[in-house]
Amino acid sequence: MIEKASMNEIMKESPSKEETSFSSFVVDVRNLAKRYGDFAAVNDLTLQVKKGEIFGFLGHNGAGKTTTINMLTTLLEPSSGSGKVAGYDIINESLEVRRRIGYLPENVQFYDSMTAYENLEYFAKLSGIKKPDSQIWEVLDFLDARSYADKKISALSKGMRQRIGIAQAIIHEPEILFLDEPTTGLDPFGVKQLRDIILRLNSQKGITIFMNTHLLQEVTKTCSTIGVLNHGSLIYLDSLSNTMKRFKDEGSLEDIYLNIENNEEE
Amino acid sequence: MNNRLIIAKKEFQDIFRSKIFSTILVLLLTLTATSILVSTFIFKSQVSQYESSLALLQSIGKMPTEAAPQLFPLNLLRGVVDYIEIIGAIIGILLGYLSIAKEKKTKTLKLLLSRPITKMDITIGKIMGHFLFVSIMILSVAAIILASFLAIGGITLTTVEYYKLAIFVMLSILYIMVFFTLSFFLSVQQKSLSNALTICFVIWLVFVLVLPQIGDTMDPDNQVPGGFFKSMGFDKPQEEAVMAKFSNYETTRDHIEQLSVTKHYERTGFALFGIKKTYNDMMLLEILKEKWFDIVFLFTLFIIGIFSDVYILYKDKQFISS
Repeated sequence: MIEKASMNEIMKESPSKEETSFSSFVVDVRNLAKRYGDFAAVNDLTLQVKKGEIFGFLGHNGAGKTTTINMLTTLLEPSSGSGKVAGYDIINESLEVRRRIGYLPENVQFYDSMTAYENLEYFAKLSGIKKPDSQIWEVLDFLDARSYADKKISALSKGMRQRIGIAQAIIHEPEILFLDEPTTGLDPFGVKQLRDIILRLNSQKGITIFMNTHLLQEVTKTCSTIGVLNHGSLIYLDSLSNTMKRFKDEGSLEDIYLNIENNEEE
Repeated sequence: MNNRLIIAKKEFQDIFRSKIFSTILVLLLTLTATSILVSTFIFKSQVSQYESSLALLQSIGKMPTEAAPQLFPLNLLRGVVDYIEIIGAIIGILLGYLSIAKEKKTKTLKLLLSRPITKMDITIGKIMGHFLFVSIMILSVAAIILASFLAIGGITLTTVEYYKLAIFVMLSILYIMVFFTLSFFLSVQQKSLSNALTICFVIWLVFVLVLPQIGDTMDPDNQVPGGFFKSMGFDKPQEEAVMAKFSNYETTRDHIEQLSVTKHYERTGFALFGIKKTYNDMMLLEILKEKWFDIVFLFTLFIIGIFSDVYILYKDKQFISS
């Protein structure tokens, strides 16, 4: 078991912070908080995510992950603190932020009276693409989803819908893609396919990924950096490789995850 | 294309693909045609009754005291006003509710708001799309009216009657959109969608059915079928002399009726179509002058509705987190 003193030393420590110039951060938030009366959904969150990273935001249900994403995607206004996404202020420059982000909420269902193509066309036009036809086919090809184009959303399986969800999120070529619990409801094959898509988006299109999840396995197989949120507070932040080195005595990453949270609660 | 137009186009397509609204639209058009046919048969029976009475009087060497029934085609549209009052309000409520309920249930609002568009774009776009649908629906009703007139005996309208029909079309669109904006507001404002729908239908019940009915029930002239004053043989000055003694009562009754948006719509519709016979002899401008308050009332409610919808979507936090 790791001593609490040493845990505290490594908690909230971002090794890349000093090595990286300010402009290379796609997400840069300082003391961000969201309160509902006396309850703090997110508390004093300071976090940087570098360009090109796949950032896994871990935490149990109710930890404040979705609230954080809602603030970063400008859907919710923070109670205090400040933040920049893609170089723009999330409070004062929300429209500029939205031009540069892609977002896939958890369990989104789309407009089921429309086909997949029509859904993509609608969101592409709202993203400022005047004639989106070529982009739609390009994105569908990238996601190997061309055959879904003329199908009504209501006729698609969860896995197929999730691909269309990612297609709408990347059609305008965002700098960063926010995924909120993207594997929810997918079968193991669907999870594997989604994981491959995320890795390809990052490596081939250079999109930074910010992924909320409560599944540690997803983080270890996909992410380059992990942050752990517990009761609205960031209790751990480091690269995956450093985490593996620091916790080399642990039996598995699941032990590490539980260890981090247990130490924080003590 | 402008964001609001993109949203409006999508909303419009969405409604046209909905089986519920196709069914309601067909129902409204069928009722319109049926009510005109029924009114026409009633008018024809009045004419034949008059002609047989006339023949009887002439056979005994007497002249009739009443003039022959005169056909004012727009008089046949009372049923249309009634149907739009009731069904149009329901359509407005359902459109407003569904435009928000679907976004809430599917979480697509989050997708919309992650785009570089404002909540104002979303609200105005939705209102524009539904306004277009309601306009086409009411224009279809107007087309059925004209087609029915032609079908039942080649009735053609005068230019003034076309103007009256055009004004009625505009008022009907406003009337339905008032209920749309109300339902939209409540669907955003209420945490529970079923609560929003329940409140909407309570409002519909009170303002479309109960209040106008109270006003009608309190109307002294409605106490006897065919009209109290007519059955008593009172002329207009005599009727006014009697009513002058009940001015407080009549003012109260009028205020109760005026609480209902439906009554404002009905009063203008009945005046334009000459359902109240006194308006048949009036010029269009005179009718509009007399009914300006009812028209402005409808228009004002619609404008208030738009501002309220924009405001509530800006203010609401629950909508995002739901």
